[in-house]
Amino acid sequence: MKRLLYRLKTAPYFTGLILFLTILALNVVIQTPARFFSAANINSLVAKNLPLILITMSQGLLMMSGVIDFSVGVQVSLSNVIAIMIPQSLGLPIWVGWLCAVAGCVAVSAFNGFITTYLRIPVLLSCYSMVFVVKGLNVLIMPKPQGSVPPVIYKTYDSVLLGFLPFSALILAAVLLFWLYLKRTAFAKALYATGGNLRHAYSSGINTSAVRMKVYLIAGVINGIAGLCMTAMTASGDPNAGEVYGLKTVAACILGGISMSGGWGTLSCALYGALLLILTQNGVSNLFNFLSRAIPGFSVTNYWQNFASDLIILLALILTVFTNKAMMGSIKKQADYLALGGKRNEA
Amino acid sequence: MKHKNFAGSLQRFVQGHVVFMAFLMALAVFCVNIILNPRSLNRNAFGSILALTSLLALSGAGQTMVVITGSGIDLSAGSIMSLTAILSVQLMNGANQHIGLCIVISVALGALLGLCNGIGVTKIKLPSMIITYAMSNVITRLQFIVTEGKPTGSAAPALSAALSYRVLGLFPAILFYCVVLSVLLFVLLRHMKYGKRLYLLGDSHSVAHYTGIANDRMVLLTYVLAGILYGVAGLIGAGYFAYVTCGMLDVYTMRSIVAVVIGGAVLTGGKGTYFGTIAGALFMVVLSNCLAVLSVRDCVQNIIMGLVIIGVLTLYNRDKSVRQ
Repeated sequence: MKRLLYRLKTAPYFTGLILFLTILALNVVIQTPARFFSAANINSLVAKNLPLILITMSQGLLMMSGVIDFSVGVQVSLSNVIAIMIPQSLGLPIWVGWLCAVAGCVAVSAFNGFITTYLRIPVLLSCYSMVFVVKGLNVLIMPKPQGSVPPVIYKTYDSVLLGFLPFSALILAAVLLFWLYLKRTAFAKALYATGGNLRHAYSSGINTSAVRMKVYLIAGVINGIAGLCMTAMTASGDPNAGEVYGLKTVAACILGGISMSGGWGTLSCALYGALLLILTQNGVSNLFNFLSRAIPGFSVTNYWQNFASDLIILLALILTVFTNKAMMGSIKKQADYLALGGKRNEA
Repeated sequence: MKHKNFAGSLQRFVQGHVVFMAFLMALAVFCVNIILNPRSLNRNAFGSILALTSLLALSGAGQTMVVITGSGIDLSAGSIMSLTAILSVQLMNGANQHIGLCIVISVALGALLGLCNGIGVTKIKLPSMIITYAMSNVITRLQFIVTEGKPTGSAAPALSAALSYRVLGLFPAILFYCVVLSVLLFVLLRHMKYGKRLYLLGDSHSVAHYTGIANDRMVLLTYVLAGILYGVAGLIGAGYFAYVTCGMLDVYTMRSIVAVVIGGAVLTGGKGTYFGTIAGALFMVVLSNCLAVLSVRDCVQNIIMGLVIIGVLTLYNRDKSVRQ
C-alpha cells in the first residue's frame, strides 16, 4: 500500500490526477451519479470534446520534447476545412479529402518544426507567426462556415457501442495505445532527453533536431485526426473555430503536470489536464442550471459561467504548485535514500 | 569563399544594429508602398501611421520591461488595456468631469492586475506565460460581466481632442506622449539603478542574486510597472478610438510582443531597448498599412504577415546552435 502510494506520488501525472479526481467528484455531486455516469452523458462529454483532448495530447508530446506550439488550434481548423472543401468543390471522394486533411496538418507541423529546429527561431514566436499563416490559409480555403458530411459519418461518431462504449472513446484509446507503444521505444528516451537538456542530449549522441522534427510530425498527424473528429462532430466546416484551443492546450498540459521546460510528463498528464478543463466547464454550467432551478429568481448571464470556469482554472493552476511540491519532495526523499545505499521503491 | 565572408559580415552587421535595421525595414516597406500606390502618400495616411505606431509603442512599453527581466512574456497586456479602456469610457460617458478619476482608476487597476501577475510569477513560480494567460482570460470575462457584453458611453471630448489633435496638421498629439514616455523609459532603464539591475537580472538570475539583488522583488516591481503602463495605454487607446467594444485592444498583446522582439529584445532576457520596440512597432504598422493599401484580402494579409515575421526573425533573432 505504502509502495503504491509512493509510486502514485512520484508519477508525473500525480498533479493532474488529484485535480481531475477533485473536479470529477464535484461534477458527480452536482449532477447526481446516475445522471453523470449514464452512457448518453459520457458519450456527449467525450464526443463533444475529443478534438480538445487530442490536441492537448499533441501539445503534451511537444512540451515533453521542450517546444510549444500554439498553432495546434488553427491546425484543427485547417484539417476541418480541407476535409470539407476537397469533396465539396473538387468532387473527389471523401476519403481523399480526409487524407489530404491529415497531410495538410503534417505539412504545417513539419514546416513549423523546420523553422524552430533548423532555423532556430525562438519557439514562442515561430508558432505565433504560424498561427497567422494557418489562420489565413483556413479563410483562403473556406471563406465562411459552410459544408456538410454524409449522415453515416456523424452518426457513427456519435454512436455508443455495446450500450456503454462511446465510439469517440475508441479513437482516444487508439492514440493512448500508440503512446504506450512509443513509450517503450528508444525514441521516447531520446524525446525525454532532448526535452530535459538539449545540450546534454546532443553531446550524448542524440540527433536532437531529428527527434524534435519527428515529434512535430507525430503531433501533426494527431492534429489532423483531431480536425477530422471536429468535422464528424459538427458535420460542417468553420475556418475560425479552432483558434481558441491554441493556448488552452498549453494551460491544460500544465494543469496535467507536464513541465513547461520539457523532459517531464506523460500523455496521461495531457489527458487529465484536458478532462479537467472539460469537466470544469461542464460542472460550472450544470451548477448554474441547478442554482437557477433551486433558487427562484436566480438568473445569471452566460458571462458569469465563463468567468467562474476561468477563475477555477486559474485557481487550479495555482494548486498545481502545491501538488508539484509534494511530488518533488518525495522524489528527493527517494533519491537521498538511494544515495545512502537503499533499494528502489522502499522508501 | 569571399561571398561567404561577405554574408558573414552582413549578418554580423545586421545583428549588431537591430534597431537601425528595424527602422530601415520599415522605411523600405513604406517606399514599396508609395511606389505601388503613390496616392497613399498623403498627410492623413502618414498621420494615422504615426498615431497607430505610438499606440502600439505605448502598449509595448510594459512588455519591453517584462521581456528584459527574462522571466518570459506577458499575455495579459491587451486584456488589461481593454479593461481600463472599457471602464474609463463607461465612467467618462462623453463628459469631461471624470477624466482625473479615470486616470487614477486606470493606474490603480493596472497596478493591481500587474501585482497579481507578479505574485503569480515570483511567489507561486508558475511560468509567466501560463499565469498571465489565465489572468487575461479572467480579465476578459470581467469585461463582459461589467458591461453585459455591450459597453456604453464614449470617451471625454477633451481627452479625445488632446490625443487626436494634429500638430501642424501632420503629427498626431499621441506621438508626443509616446516621445515623453520613451525619454522617461530611457532614463529609467539606462541611467537609474533600477534599469541597471533589470538588465543584470535578465542576463543571469543567479549572478544577479549573488550580486545582492532581490530578484523576486525586482520582477514583482517590473510586473506592477508594466501593469500601470498597460492601464495608461488602455486609457489612451480609449481616448484615441473614442468608442470601445469588449476585448477590442486584446490584439495588442501579441502585436506588442512581436514589436518588442523585432526591436531586438531576446525572450531569454537581458537585451532590448524601448527604442527598439518603437522601431518594431513602426515596422508592424507600416507593413499592415501597406497590405491594407494594396487591398489584399484579410486572410492573405495574415499569411504575408506571418511569413514576414518568420523571415525577419530568421535574419537576426535565432537561438544559439546546440553545438556552440
